[in-house]
Formats: sequence, structure tokens, C-alpha cells
Amino acid sequence: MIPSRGTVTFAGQRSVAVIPQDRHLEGLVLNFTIAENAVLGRQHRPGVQRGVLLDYARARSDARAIVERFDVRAASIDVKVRTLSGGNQQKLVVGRALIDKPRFVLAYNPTRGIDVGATALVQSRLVEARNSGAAILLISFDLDEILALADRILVMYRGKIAGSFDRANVDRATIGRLMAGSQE
Amino acid sequence: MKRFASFISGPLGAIVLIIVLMSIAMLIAGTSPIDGFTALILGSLGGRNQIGETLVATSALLFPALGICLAFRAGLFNIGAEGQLLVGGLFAGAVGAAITMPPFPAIVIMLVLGAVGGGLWGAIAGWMKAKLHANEIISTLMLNFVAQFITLYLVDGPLKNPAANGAETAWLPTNYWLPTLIPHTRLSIGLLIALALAMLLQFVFARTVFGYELRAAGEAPEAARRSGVNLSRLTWLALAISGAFAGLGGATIVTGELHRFNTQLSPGYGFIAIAVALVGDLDPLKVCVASFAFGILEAGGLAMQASAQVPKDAIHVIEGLIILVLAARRYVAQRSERIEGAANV
Amino acid sequence: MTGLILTLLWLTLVKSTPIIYAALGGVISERSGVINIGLEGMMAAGAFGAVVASNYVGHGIAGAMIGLLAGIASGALIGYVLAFAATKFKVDQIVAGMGINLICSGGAAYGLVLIFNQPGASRQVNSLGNNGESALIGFAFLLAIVLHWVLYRTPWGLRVRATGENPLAVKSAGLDPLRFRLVAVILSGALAGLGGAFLSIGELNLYSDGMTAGRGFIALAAVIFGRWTPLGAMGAAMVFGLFEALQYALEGRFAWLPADALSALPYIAALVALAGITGKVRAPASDGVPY
Repeated sequence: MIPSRGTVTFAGQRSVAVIPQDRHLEGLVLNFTIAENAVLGRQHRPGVQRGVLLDYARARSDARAIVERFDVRAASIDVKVRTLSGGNQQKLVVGRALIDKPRFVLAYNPTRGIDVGATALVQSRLVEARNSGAAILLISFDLDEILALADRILVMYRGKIAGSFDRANVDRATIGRLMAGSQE
Repeated sequence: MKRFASFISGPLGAIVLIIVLMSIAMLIAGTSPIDGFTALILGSLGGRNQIGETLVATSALLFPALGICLAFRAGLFNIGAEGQLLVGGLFAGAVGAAITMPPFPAIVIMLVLGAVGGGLWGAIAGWMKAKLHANEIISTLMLNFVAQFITLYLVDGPLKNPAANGAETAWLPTNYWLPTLIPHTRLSIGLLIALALAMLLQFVFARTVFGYELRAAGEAPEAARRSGVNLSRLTWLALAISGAFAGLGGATIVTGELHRFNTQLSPGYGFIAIAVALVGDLDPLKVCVASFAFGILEAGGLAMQASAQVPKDAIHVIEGLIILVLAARRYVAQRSERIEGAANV
Repeated sequence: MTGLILTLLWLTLVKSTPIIYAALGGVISERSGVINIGLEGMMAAGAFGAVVASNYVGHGIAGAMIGLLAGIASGALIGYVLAFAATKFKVDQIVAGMGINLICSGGAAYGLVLIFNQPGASRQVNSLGNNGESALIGFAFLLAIVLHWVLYRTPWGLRVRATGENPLAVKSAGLDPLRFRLVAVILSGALAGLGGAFLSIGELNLYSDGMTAGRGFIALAAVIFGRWTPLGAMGAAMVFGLFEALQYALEGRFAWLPADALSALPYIAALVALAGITGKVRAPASDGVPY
């Protein structure tokens, strides 16, 4: 991920898996195939980059793995991502972020604007990643999603953290009040 | 209307369109199209010399077209190939006239410096774009004129061959000439260099990380930037390499066919190469085929002018029309993506 | 010395005028959201059309006046071609503009052979004369003021600018953004044609191949340097005109100054201006984006 200023590190490492907010503008090259998009942002990783070359066989096998595990519905991994539905595009983006088994994932509105089935799949894969040890920072405007997925919840208001809770110790009304800016 | 547009912008449609337009141009000039096309074909493919001239033009167009292809794929409009060609040719001609060494290293040095010269000229626009966000279209256009006048000044002044009447550098010694490819024609092995370059470019696009990042930046700059592509580095590098291709082309014309540098090196190859790159779909291998097709037009056009009284400039009108029609296909997806982005908000 | 300065001033006015006309055309086109790289070709069309009409009509100043109108019409016609391609076919405007430039320069060269039976340059025709030249110079400055007023003070100007910023908003206001683009680009062609006619029958009395010499491209730089406003573009065009004038004013007087290198001055000035200004200015948001 490239922040607009400064650097983002996790446990001393620069590489952070990101599920961006706007998949069209930030996460996918629509005129690239599924296989090509499967290595977008990963093109310098060892195993993907070999010397000056990009290992397209690796891109294809990664693409196949993502398509299978994330149920991306497409005629083949050689179709342009432009032809996929929004839900399938998002499953590809999420699958790509999780394929390297990252220790930290930044997920920004990962289910915005996609259908129910895709939403359920994306959410369950995020939970699986959590269960296998990844730290996931979920940024979402969807309160239901947060309440369903999060272990710990931070509420931000005007750029400041307004409250911090364990999921078990907080209810919707409290979060709603803090989101609206009221003091505790 | 849509189906018509997609047919016209396909390769077959382009050929049909060219034939129709050329027939009209011939009729206006008072020549029957049959005579005109006969002159064109005979003049470009009718014999060893004619084929040689066609391939000379093919080679001269292929270098800048490949450079334009690379820049356009990166989403950068390099319209400065004409100037880059001139600067590359000047470097090669000036150095070749000045050095004394065995022929092989001399020729290599001329070609390399030609690429360096064109590359520097492209890098100016690249640097302006990457560091100052100056529109590369206008800077490359301006650099064409600057190159034209500066090279003219140099070969009419400091670098002028005192023995020549016109503005040109001294002739290269004959052992500095690129070997001839087809005996008894002007065609040099520059054509082979161009073809090798096309294959190299295809390989770079299809197999390398640099090619992958370049294509990603051209298709979706914001997604590329977020994915770790250094856009500013890629911008100046792409324009520099694009210029180097054209500059190498200028150098092969100098060592291969002209054997000295003068500013009549190119009758607009750098501009026609834009049409070549577009007709070739910005695909290096198809660009080779397109260069040959335009080579036929260039060489045959001269013959047509002589025998069928159709001015060669009519060819440029047709090439312009082809560009105009092909523009209906969107080459730089960045623009369309911006619209789609806007529509989705 | 005063002689040199007066010469330089007059030459600056003369050399600025065609660039001002083309740059005003560039401003109006880009303000509507169409980048007009074809300005160069439209100038050539205007210059050539003016000479052809003046040649056929003859009759002194009347012929030249009709030539002037023909020049404007030729530019507008080519402007229509780009406008049609840009609005109906949603072409890539840069690529289409380059195509138009080739068509116009090649077409004029072809026309020289067909009409005047000679390559390179037309025969001499009736020109507008010194008074006509002066009037067109004055008119360029007047037009810049008028266009500035139109763009910033009239509803039509507001709508054109809105089309260049956000055509969807214009659409949702119940207006057709494509109509504004069509009209703006045709007008742009007419202005470039006028600039071209000034070159051929205002400043001179013939058309010669390559006589526009990149002034249409310099005008594009003037549009940016002038921050996409008519008065700004006029000022920028005068700066570039000054550099062109410098070349003419200096080359005769100082033999040691290399004429060819001096010819590069206006283009270098445009490059430097472009490098200095960009990043500090903002193009219309939808400039160059097909709608």
C-alpha cells in the first residue's frame, strides 16, 4: 500500500495487505485479466518477481486459487476483470489481499455495494483469516457489519478516537451516540 | 452506426477505407484509380529497388512507431518522435564524422549515441511531466520545433561540412556505413535492428515486471500508484525510452542510408509513426505489419506522384483521415476510466 | 535604439496576433471540455482557404475581405470535423487532433498543386493591406476582452464553463452538454482560421507550406500559461509573440547571432512557461474527457 504521506509498517514490515475502498479506481485494472490482476500490488514479491521478469505462471496459479477459494464466477482467469460483476470483482480484490496469508489486513468497506452472497463469503473469509492469526483493521460505515465481525471496536468522530470497546461490552446505542459526536 | 464504426476501425475496414479514400483523391487529381494504384503498387513492390525503398521507409517508421507504442501504452502522449529522431540522427552523424576507430565499435557507438540523444530529448519531456506535471503533449510538440532549429543551426554552423553546399555534416567514411541488407538497394540492416527491437518490446510488455507496471499505469494510473508503481519514475523512464527508440531510428537512417546528417532526414516519419502505432493497435508485432503497409504508401506515393500526377501530399491527407477514424477507439483507458468513475459516484 | 524598440513593439503586436486568435479558440474549446490539438491544422486551413478565395474573387480589398471570411469558414469547417468526432464518436481528442493536423497540412499542400499548379507556395493574391492588418491586430485584443466577458458574465459562458467542469451537472440541469461542446469547438476552429487568415492575407499575401510553423501548438501552451482565461491567454500569446519578434528584430542587426538558433526562441519560451506554470494551475476538470 502507498499512503499519500509517510509510511505504514506492521511489525517492522512495510507490506500491508489492503482491501481498498473503491475497487474500480484503486484496486483493479479493469482492462487486465483476472490472472494479471491477481498479482497487482504483489508484483515485487519474491516468487512473483523473478529478476526483471514477472512469473505469469505464478500469476495464473494464484488467480486459480483465488477464483476457487473465493468463488469468483468467471468463464476463465483470462477474461478481463471489466466483464465481471461488482461482487465477483470484490471477491477477487479480497482474495488477492488474503492470498499471501498476511499478518495484518486493512479492510476498507470490504462489502460496500455487493450482493448478499458475496458479502457473506467476504465476511466469512475475513473471519477465517482472523482465526488463523491475522490482525484485521476493518474500517466500515456499516454498523451491522462491524457488530457482526469485530472483536474490538473503535469509534472515530472528527478524526479522533471517541471510544474504544470490546465487542462484548458495547451496544449499538452507545456506538451510535459516539458516532454522532456526543460525549460519554 | 456502431457496427459501421467498429468495422471501419478494424484492420480490414482500415484497408477498405484507405482504398476508397485514395481512389477519391486520385479522381480529384484527374487520374483513374486503376492507373493510380498500379503506379503505387509498381512503385513500391514492382522490383528490387522498389521493395528496397519500401523497406527503407518501413524501417524508418518502425523505430519511432515502437517508441510511440511504448509511450502510449504507458498512457503518455509522446508526439515528439520527429524531434527525437532528429536529435538521435544528429548525435550519430556528428560523432561518426569526428571519430577514428575500427568500423564495428564506431557503428555501435553511433547507434548507441543516437539512442542516447533521442532518449535525452524524450527525457526532457519526461522530467517536465514527472517533476513539474507539465503536459507532455505540448512539451513534446515544442521540443520538435526546438530540435528542428537547433539541429539546423548546428549543421549550418559549428558542425557544417565545409565541402558541402547545403547544411549537413561531413560524410561518414564508407566503412562506417551499416551493411546493406539487399544488395544494390539502399536498404541497410537497420531493418533487422528494428524488427529485433519490436520483439524485445513485445517481450518487455508480456514478460517483465517493468512492462507489467507500464501497462498498469497506462490503463489505470491510480490503481497502479496504489499498487506500488512509482508513477513519476515510470513517466520519465517511458518517455526517455520512447525517445531512445526514435533516436536509434534517426541513427540508423544516418549510418544506414543517408551516410551523413541533414535536417531533411525525415519527411515527417515521427508524425506518420503515430498513425502506424495506432493502426498496429499498440501491439509491437502488429506495428511491424503496419509499418510495412505505411512503407508501401510512402515509397509508392513518391512513384505515384511521378507517374500518375497524384501529389504525394494526398497520402498525408489519407494518413490523417486514418488517424481520425482510429481515434474512435479509445487508446488511453485512463480517460474512459475517469468517466466510468464519475458515472459510478 | 528607440527605432529598435519601436520595431520590436510593432513586431510583437504583429507576431502575437495569430497566436492570440488561436489561443482564444483554444480557451473556448478547452473550457467546454475538448482539447483542441487540431488548432495548428485549423490555422493552416484558414490560411489556405483565405488565399484560395482571395485568388478566385480578386477585386482588391473586396476579394481580400471575402478571403478573410473564407479563412474563418475553413477553420470553422475543420472545427466542425473535430467537434463532430469528439461529440458523436467520443474519439480520443488528442489522436483525432493530430489526424486533423496531418489532413490540413497535407490537404493544403495537395491543394497548392491542384489549384495553383505549383508545390510549396501559392501565387500572390490580394491581401488585406496595412490597414486591414492593423484592424485585425486591434480586433484580436478587442475579441479577447469580449470573449472574457462572454465566458464570465453571460449565461452561455457559464454553461460552456460548466460543460468543461462537469457535463453531468449540465445534463441534469436539462441542457445538452454536447451542444455546448459542438458550438465551442466550431467557434474555436473559426478563431484559429481567422488567425491563419491573418498569417496568409494579413501579414503576407500568399500561402506557403508550413507557414503556421507550430503557432497552433504555441497557442495551446498560451492557453495553459494564461490559466484557461481569454485575457490570460492573450497575455501569454503576447509573451510568445515578443520572443518571435525578438528573433526578427535582432537577427538583421547583430550578424553574430545565429538566425536558426533564434528561431527556436518562441518554442523554448513556451517550454519554459509550461515548466514554470504547471502544477500551479488547474485545467477544467473534464478537459479532454469525452462525454
